[in-house]
Amino acid sequence: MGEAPTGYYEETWAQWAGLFDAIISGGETDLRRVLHIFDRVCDREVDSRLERQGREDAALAPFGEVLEKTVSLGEAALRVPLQTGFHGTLARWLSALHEPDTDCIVELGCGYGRNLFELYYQGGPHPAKLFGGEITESGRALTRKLADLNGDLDITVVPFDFRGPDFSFLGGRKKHILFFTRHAIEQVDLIPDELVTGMLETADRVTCVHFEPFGFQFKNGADHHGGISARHEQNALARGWNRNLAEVCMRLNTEGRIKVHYLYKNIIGEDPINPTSIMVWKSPERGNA
Amino acid sequence: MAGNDYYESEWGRTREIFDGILAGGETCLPRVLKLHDRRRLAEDEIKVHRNFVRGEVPMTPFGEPFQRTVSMGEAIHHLPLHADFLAIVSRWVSAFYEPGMDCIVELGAGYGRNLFELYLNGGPHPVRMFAGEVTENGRTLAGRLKALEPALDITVVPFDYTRPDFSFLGDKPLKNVLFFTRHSIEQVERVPRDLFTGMVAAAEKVTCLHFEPFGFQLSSRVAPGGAISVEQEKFISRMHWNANLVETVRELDEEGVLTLRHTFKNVIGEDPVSPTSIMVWTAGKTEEQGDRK
Repeated sequence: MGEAPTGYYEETWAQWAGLFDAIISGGETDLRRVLHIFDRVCDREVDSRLERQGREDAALAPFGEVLEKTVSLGEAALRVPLQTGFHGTLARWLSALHEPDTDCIVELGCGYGRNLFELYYQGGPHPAKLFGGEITESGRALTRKLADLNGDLDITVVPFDFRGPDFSFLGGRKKHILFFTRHAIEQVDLIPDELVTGMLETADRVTCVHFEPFGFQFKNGADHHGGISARHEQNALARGWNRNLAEVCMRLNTEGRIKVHYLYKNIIGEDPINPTSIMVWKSPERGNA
Repeated sequence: MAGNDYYESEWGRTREIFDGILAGGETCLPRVLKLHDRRRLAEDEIKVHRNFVRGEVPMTPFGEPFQRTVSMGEAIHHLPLHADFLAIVSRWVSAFYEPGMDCIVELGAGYGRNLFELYLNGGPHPVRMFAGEVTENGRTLAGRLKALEPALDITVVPFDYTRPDFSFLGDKPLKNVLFFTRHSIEQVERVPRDLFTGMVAAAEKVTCLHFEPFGFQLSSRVAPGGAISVEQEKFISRMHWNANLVETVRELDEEGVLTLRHTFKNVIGEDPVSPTSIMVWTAGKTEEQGDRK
């Protein structure tokens, strides 16, 4: 009869206890956050192992982590995003783009606040001032009701309409603001330039991440007709959903008013008829505008 | 259109679901969110599957779609319904939990992660849980982490697969116990029959789920394994990991000691070198599964 490899695991758990001790002694007290922060440390170890192995085909996120992992189903191997859930991906990107002097994180079109809750639970920046801008009264009410379950969450919920953007809720100019949207612009057929220029005026430096289904708006030859994008476009047009996010951002980028840093097309396919692309833009460096 | 009429209605429906969960006594936000997701996920996949695959949706024993349909770039893929291993374990253990069970026991619990996730993912609560673990460091770490969440009722105990001792369950006869293992039997080259007969003797009714890499053990001359199974067998053999889980459970099933209910081969491939299969067996006086949560 074989023996359980207790020696190996005694060592593993002792090593992991050290990692957990560092997280807890850093002031973390919420079990969900502690587990997710630990997972991120482990993911980094996987990344560095892949790097050592010289895996040249590994797609990388802008913050240097691999974007995909290889899994299997039945007898077939397939590659899927590293963070298989949307919330994990969203939290990872926002955490990476959060800076030490970021005044607040603002979600525009926050619905019932789910992305902001998950940002917290998945080990996102904390403490952090969070704003949830939402057009519907029912969405704002539900966000407040759920946020009340956790006293550690610092979320201010405010009315916000993409078609008449008003950022006065921020109460004056800040140093750095991290904005994001997730499948919220999708439902505004045409966004005004003022949505982007309004964000630019809120702080000395602005970073904005769009997790939105704009992949079909980039028509790059045969790839566009690969199946997903063509169907996606039909669906978006039939529903009267957004068709100018890419055009507005790329035009303002050309004019030097923003700088588009990253574009990833159809990178999150939780809904294959409406897959998510990611765009990160920032205000231009001073003197470069 | 800003879509606000649609979303006023949508968030109103969403609020009704949350109100129902909160009215049931839930106060932990991560659990509340996951309980909401569980209601929505299956419904959404059935719609997507019908759009893209246009056939029968493969279902789990508890009546949910087995997979979900996603895309990456311009291609369609099928993944397990729940996005990661911990969520899958939580969903299956929750589905086989029956109201009134005495406790949930994980054997080979490591640092307790599966039991923590079972709670945080909206699993049965309140319920008594046991974490059996052979290593002292694993038990210590499990104890330290569970202290962060006072609502958790987990007792951490020593447990060695090669010398199974279930006395930690106490002297009082138990009626109904749910056991599970996740990639822990894998590291025991040959598990003894006593492991299973010990579980069977622990209560009047026992349900056990194994989330273990035994897919290659299902291969035969009649039904040889594919590329993944062949690689798995080589890997497991080289590591001297478990080679007799399937054989032992089948023998006990033939002898009537337990009833093998379900076997799903290579359905969780987080590690393609050693993907996970799921086995469910029951034993005891109640043979039918009854209502599943």
